[in-house]
Amino acid sequence: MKKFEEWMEKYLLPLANKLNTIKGLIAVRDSFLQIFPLTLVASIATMINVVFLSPTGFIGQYLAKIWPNIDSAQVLLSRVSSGSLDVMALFIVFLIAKNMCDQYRGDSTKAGMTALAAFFILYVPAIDGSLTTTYFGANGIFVSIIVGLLVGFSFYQLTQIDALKIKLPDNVPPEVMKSFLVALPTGILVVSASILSWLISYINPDGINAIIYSMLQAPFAQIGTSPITPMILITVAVILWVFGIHGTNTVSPIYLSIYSAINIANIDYVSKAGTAFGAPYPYSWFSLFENYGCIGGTGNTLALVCVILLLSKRKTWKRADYTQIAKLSFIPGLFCINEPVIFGLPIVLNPILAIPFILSPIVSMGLGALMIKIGFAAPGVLDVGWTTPQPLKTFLQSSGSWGALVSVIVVFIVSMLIYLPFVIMANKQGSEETE
Amino acid sequence: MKKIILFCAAGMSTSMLVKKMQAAADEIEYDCSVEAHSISEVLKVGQDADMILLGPQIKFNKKDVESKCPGIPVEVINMRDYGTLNGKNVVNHVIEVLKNKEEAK
Repeated sequence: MKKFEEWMEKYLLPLANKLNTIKGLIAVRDSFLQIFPLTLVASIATMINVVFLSPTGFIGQYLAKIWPNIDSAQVLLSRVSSGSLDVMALFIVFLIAKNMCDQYRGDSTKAGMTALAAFFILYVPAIDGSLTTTYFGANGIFVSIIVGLLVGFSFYQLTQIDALKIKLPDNVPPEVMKSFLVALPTGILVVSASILSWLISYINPDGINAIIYSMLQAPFAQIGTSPITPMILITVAVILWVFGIHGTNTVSPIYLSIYSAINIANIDYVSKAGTAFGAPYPYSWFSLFENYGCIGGTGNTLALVCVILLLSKRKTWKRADYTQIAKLSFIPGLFCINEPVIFGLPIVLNPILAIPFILSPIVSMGLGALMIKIGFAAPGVLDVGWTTPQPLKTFLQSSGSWGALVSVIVVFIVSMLIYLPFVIMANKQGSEETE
Repeated sequence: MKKIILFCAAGMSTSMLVKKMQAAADEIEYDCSVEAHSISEVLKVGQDADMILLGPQIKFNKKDVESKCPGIPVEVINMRDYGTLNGKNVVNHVIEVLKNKEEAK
């Protein structure tokens, strides 16, 4: 065990540190975290329309008996997506450039504005005065990430060049001075974008969005539709957790880069189709992990807590330390917080409990994928917030799919069965130690 | 008054410890304020802290936080104290570190 720890200090910690200090990845991660309130509102508005205000919805079918034209009320919320999902790329391009520049402590708001300007300059030209909205939403996210990163980075670098700073007399107010300091870098970037846009128009009249979309869409769709990708990610994440490192947080730059556009495409589908069945990316990281791999926290640790609480009633139970932690962890666990379990029991560097902790989410997410595959459960693709207690969370995220709710309960019981023999083993070992 | 800031991934799990720490500090009448934040907010809120504590799950961020908040002691919370939400132990550790720092001056 000692060797293991040394190995971890030497290789794993620097690797995790590296992954979490790559400025581009941090900028992408923080931007999607900051956009979350809008994703949440869009998800909840969609969920209300599908579950409550649709005559075929879970609650809606009963309400429709009292009020037959219930779907006419959907109009009240249907425009929410116009200000969120449909224009996500615009928010993202601004935020990424801002977050990128923030990490160098540059004038980040102006970097964000410049990136937004560049986004529109590179955008599909208007025809007869009207601009297509095709690439404002999920379809334009790749370009907005690229433009945001490039502009955020080069904006800061350009503002550091002394020759580009316009000098004004000392009695000019500081705010005015600040604007002039960034005037030339802004100009250089905006004009470069314009020239680039002109060049690209010779390759494809629809501009950079059409090119990037056709170039990246195929490989990303491949990665994003396969259930294997979330399986690999969760395996890495739980192994990191076993070494005491926040696994899901550490792999988040990876899954956010792969799945951010996919998640928005999924939510968008539900808001238009009125059901989560048939979502374009049913096996996304979000759909499998948030619903089936994180019941009570990564590793479905709520199942472990319940196993301990059940076994603690037996006479042969010797692990009072486990009982104490399980009692302490139950309520936070309902809200998907499991650090007390992971560090308190602990699971970290615990050769017995580490095994089911690694197995349980892999099996659970596989089961979840199977339930979706056979059409029993709708994929839970709406985002109602990760701290929503299960199985309510999945029920809402799947826009009211009974199958999904049942699947979560099944997966939870399976997780308990996976943890059970190992808790019995830990109890046996504990009682041998005390004797 | 000493300002102690705790960071973890989302600021959720450390917020449970915050309550316990504040209670433990009040009990021994140690004048301090304790807050929990997400690690992504280090630049924004970290610099006016007297002491920064990191959840053990993000201990790999220690060097990065130290470079972003120069001069402020940064410590990783003991895993067991964190898991068992032992506010008392953590507060005692903080007092000790800050005392050593002042003596070193």
